[in-house]
Amino acid sequence: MSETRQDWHAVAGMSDLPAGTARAVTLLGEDIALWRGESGSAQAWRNQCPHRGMRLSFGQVRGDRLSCRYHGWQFDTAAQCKFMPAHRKISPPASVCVPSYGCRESGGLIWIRLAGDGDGFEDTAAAGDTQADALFCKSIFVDGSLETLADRLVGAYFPPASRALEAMPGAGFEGEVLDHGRGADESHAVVAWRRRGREPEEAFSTSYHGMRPARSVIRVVAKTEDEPPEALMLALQAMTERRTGVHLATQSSGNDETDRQRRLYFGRWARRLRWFLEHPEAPFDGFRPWT
Amino acid sequence: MSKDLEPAALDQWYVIESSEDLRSDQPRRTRLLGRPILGERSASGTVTIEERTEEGETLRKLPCLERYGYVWTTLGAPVKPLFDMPEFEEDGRRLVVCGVLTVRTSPGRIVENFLDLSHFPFVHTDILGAEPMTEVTPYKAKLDESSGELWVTECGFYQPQAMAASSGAAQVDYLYRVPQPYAAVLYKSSPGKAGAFDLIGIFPQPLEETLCDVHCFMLVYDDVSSYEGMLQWQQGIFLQDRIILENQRPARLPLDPKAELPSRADTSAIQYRRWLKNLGVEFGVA
Amino acid sequence: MIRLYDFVLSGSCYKVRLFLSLLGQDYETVPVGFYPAKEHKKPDFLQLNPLGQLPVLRDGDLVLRDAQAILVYLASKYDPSGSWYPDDAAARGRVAMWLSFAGGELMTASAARLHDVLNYPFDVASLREQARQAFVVLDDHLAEQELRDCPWVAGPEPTVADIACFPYVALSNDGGIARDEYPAIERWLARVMVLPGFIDMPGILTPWSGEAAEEPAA
Repeated sequence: MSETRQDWHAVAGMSDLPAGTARAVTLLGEDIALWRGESGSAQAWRNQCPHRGMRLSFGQVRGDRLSCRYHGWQFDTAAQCKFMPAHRKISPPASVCVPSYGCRESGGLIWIRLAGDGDGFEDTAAAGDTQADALFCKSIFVDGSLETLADRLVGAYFPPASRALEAMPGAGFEGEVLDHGRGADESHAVVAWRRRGREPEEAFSTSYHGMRPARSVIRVVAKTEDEPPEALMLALQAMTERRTGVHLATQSSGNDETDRQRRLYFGRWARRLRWFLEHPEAPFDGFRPWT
Repeated sequence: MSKDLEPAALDQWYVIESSEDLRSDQPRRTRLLGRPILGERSASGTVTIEERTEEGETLRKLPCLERYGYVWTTLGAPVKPLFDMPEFEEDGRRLVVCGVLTVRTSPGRIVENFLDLSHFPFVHTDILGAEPMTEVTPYKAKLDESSGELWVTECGFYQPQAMAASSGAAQVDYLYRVPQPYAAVLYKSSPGKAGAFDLIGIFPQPLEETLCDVHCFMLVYDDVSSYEGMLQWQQGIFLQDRIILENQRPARLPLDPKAELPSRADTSAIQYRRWLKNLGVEFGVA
Repeated sequence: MIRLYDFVLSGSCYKVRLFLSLLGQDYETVPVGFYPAKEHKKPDFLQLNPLGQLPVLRDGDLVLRDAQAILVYLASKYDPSGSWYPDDAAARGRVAMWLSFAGGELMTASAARLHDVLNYPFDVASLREQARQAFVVLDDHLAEQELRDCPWVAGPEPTVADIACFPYVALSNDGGIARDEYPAIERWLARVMVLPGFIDMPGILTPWSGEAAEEPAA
């Protein structure tokens, strides 16, 4: 697996980790407890209580502490044990803590890195121009390595969000590719396309960034003549060598109702994409592979 | 045949089935310490147990005992006879055989959980414990040199419903006996007979290092509860533990004292791990 | 008095126990020796249910089998609000659709659990795969339901369809099926677990109630 433990990887949508909940995520084969206190930011820890090895993702979030399901040991957001219920009057020694990972929230997604401290996030492909107004849509999970999926995703036909409302009733995938090209450094590619049956002046160009060096983040920017550019981000999570997560975020319109429609639209698009990725032999309407 | 096993694992007695469920029309094809086993009862009632190859050919006949409602065997040469449980001779007790429940973990994790007091309020909430009554008072855990058994004594815990027959919360006295590494029996104040103890025992049958069939019994003074009521009470308790046991990492029991951090309430676990290490147990430990 | 023929570890029996509790309805249980005695496959029980399955509910002269059927009956008879089994053609159709899913596709998760816990001789890899496919369908559906302000399985309010779907999803870990990939399912489980009158069963991990003060004495 080429993805390194020092890189930042998306592991979930921010809104898929509500306050007061804990869940398990797998990254590069590592079992991770991801949780969020009632008031705080996301935490990513080794999924193993230091006491008896119980997976902490099964724990209860109590306020801003995570309480292990087995014996109720409570850990604060610094991953420090603060309370051992079997010894109510004893303050746990500082040595009782859980190894934690760097964890950031950006672009609608939660990002982790397994090695190194929490710095350096701003320099990565994960931190981009969709941060402030990002809208997480859906995560899908499919069999296959990140490498395989990234190869197939680059060149996929990504519909622009502004067309979401219009395209809702139908499949929204009826486009045709007019032209495509690849940047010299392979860091981005451009596809020009139009909706089938429409006039050429309605053509869009869609560019893909981040193919190299961080193949785990694919950023798609759709441009038209008269509308501002729109971005869509697909962040790939190498769970194991045989299983990969794809987290899809777009940008917020600033309007709740429109955002709701966008999430519905891209949620459905993600489901089609998942089917396509599960069926590599099948032709996919709306997917144009690079040649 | 699988890898060579150490005497500490081979030379124990293991339950492979309850006497009741090993019927002439129902042989038990199972595994023990990673090896295929067949247990059969003839029409006349005689039990035979054999170790087989993976292809199902007989390798050898194994020793066989029927006691305490169970069929026992061993793959090695135990230095001691099967441990004695005189309580089975006492009048007025009822035996509940809880059936085989499978758990994906090591036998050591299962026994250690059985000896554990401080999980009661969190795993068996409102039955064997309840917050905020979580304090574990000091107790003793000691290897009895003459018998070679581990005993955990002077335990007490506040329990909302200590047994099926309990009518309300009570401070309950406990003691535990671990007659061999992979078998354990607990004694707790009986709600059915003042001053007496009810027994609950577990006999993990390690199929593989991290996969066990667990045989569990209760031997109680209880004239109130139905057999099914008592059985299902215990099965419910077991399934509360099971989701914990299957989600401990690693599944093998770590014997290195620095691998996991115990507290004083874990005295029994500390002694248990030390004992396994001194005995040279390798099967199912890390 | 309503009488439920019950087994403590059965998720199907738990559907009925849970719903009776949510309704605040009194009942008595008859524990049936499902395991290891297999009493449900013996003549006395087969007289009650020739299919040899739990649960069975007796209410007066009425004897019903099948958890989904029992939920529909209990809602129709004992829920004066009518919200658990809504009296509207489309809503009822949706409820029936998901009741069928609960008694059909989701039972693969139950079978995987029977294999893992009680050693039933099933092809567990296939069962888990089928269960995961069903979970994906449910997770996709619930994610869309949330976006429509309709966060329950069959509509804007909880119905018997939620109760029928809940147990074997919530118990999936017992059968070796993790739920890490189903965040919308996890949120829905959490919503069910805070319904007034909710009760759990062994193998279901409930969220913190937020009650007892857990601070150590200073």
